Amino acid sequence: MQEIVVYLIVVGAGLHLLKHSRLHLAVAKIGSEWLLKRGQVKWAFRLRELFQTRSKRPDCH
Amino acid sequence: MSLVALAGNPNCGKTALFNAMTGGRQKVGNYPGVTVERKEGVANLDNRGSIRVLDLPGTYSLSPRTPDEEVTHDVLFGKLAGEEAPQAIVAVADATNLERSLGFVIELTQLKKPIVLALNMMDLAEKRGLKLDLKALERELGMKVIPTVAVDGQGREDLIERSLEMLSQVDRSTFIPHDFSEEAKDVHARFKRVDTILKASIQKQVARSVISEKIDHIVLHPFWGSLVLLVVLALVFQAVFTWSATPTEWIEGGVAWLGTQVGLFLGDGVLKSLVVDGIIAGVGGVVVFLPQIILLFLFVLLLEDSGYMARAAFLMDRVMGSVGLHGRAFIPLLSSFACAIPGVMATRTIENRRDRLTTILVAPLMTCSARLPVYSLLIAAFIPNKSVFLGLGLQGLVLLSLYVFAVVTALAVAYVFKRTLFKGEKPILLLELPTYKIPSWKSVLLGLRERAGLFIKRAGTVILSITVILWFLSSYPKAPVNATQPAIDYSYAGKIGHAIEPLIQPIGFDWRVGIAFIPGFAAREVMVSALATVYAVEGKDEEATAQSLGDTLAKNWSLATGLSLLAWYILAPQCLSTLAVVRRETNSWKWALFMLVYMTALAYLLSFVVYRVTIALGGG
Repeated sequence: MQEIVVYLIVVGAGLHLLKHSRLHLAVAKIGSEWLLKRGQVKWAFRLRELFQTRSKRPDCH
Repeated sequence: MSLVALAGNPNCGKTALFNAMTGGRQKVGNYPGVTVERKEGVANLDNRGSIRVLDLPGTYSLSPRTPDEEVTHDVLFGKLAGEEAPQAIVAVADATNLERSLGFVIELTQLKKPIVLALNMMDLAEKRGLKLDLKALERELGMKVIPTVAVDGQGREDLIERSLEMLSQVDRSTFIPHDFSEEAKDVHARFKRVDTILKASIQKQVARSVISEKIDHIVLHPFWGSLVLLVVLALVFQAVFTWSATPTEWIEGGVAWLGTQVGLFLGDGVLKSLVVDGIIAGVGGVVVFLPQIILLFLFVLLLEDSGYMARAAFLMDRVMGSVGLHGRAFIPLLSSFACAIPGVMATRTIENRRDRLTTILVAPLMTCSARLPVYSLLIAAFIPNKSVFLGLGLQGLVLLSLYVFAVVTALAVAYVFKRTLFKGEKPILLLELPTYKIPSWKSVLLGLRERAGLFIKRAGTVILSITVILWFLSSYPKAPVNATQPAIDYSYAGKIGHAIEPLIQPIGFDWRVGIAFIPGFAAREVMVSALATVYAVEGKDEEATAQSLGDTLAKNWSLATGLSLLAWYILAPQCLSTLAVVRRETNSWKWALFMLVYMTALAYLLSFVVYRVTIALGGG
């Protein structure tokens, strides 16, 4: 049981770091460009819009 | 909702007024160039309505010379892509310097938009003897004039009410000022007109501040001023160490107590290891430096608010000019002591691209607050706590010397860049010295709350997440049953650390430091939490785990290693956010990567020299 809780915490921390590093934005950008090239305009824009509204500039202290 | 823009000269209190109108908490400072971006907020007036308020960077004219002035120009003329032009203007003027402020107000009339004039710092102007006929001023300018004291919120309601009237279609025309089109085009005609306006409206002029001049006589003196600056800095760093000792001990005690209690509650197992060795040891290792961060910013905010920082800029211009840096680089470099990101952004006040790039590239060399936890940890572990001169402690002096060394290195690097990559003439500094003021406690406390809040938030989010991941990497895979080495040696982190070790061994670091290096690239202070986690996971008994990180390092590292890591952190570019901002501000990865390479090379070289010299002197 303890192992499961620990794994969940680790996965949560990983996801948080992924969000903070804005890696998901880069992935969304690359993904939407890939979809555009294949003529999937609707899905390309949906993917881009999904993340664009949440984009933030990097901050520090 | 309609939009009103605050426009005026630098350091006339626009951001303070913006904060008063919107309840915002934007940074204000008693020196020009604090705001370099547009900021938007909403001002409400009971049930009478709401308006959107735009705070713009200060400018002396509508002919922009610098990137921040361009923002103001483009927003006011509706030329900024994706940005709606404001429907009305609140011109902000410094009541203690009307002659200069009104010149820009007249220029604003060419926008042909409704304008009200907020006459800010009226308390200070009246204290210095100003007697003004507001009705006459309104008559001469053809616009409503509202006296304000932004830091106390005086005039706030009146200003929002007039702004609402300006935006309503019924009253709009009454706010269109006189036609000054001739004066707006010609600077001589403009100031002649200002002269006429002031003659008609001023009953008694602002008296010259004798005390201010006497203080400036000393603090701007090349020798005495430099001495004052050095003494002020020495006292600040001494206080950061001595005054923070007791609260730091309290937090350390609290963290240790929490670790014990949580350990007892959870019992032995993997969850206890994660919470106690990972989260509490890692995050607690960084949180203990909160008192030092608060004290450092308390002094910085007090010095800024009093008006002394701008004098320090003037004093430093001689030094900065000698290496070819623009005098305006002082504010970005000063901001970088808090964090390089606002520092890099503040370079927008520099008009020349070569000067701006030089400043951007050296700004991250300034000692940002994220380095303070690393410095404090290593100084407390390796530098004896003894008094050396007139009650000044050795630890405080070492901390001061690290800051001074960073400044000297930044100047030396700028000197090289200005003579190789960015050759150009030495620019002239024109900086307006702000009025000396008793610091506003409200503003200082707000600034401190924001800084402390950001530090705690960071510890509870990014640092916490990295600590959890690092604990996982340091704990898995588990050691085999017949293991002969410590468990961490068999973990992912252990393997990564051992792989990096050959690269960092010449500068005195072992694989444990190698492990802490990687998450340390996300943010410098993470190095402390990473070391705390690595040593806690590696700890063979409870006693070793309960030991403070400083004691653990002092026991396990040589003096040469401790000093080498200190040297590394003076120059290392370990902050991904800064690199991202450099890319954004220079519009190219080229300069961000160049910065990463040159700073890493310098850091490696310095660490190598410090390590080898310390060993040669018997500190190995």
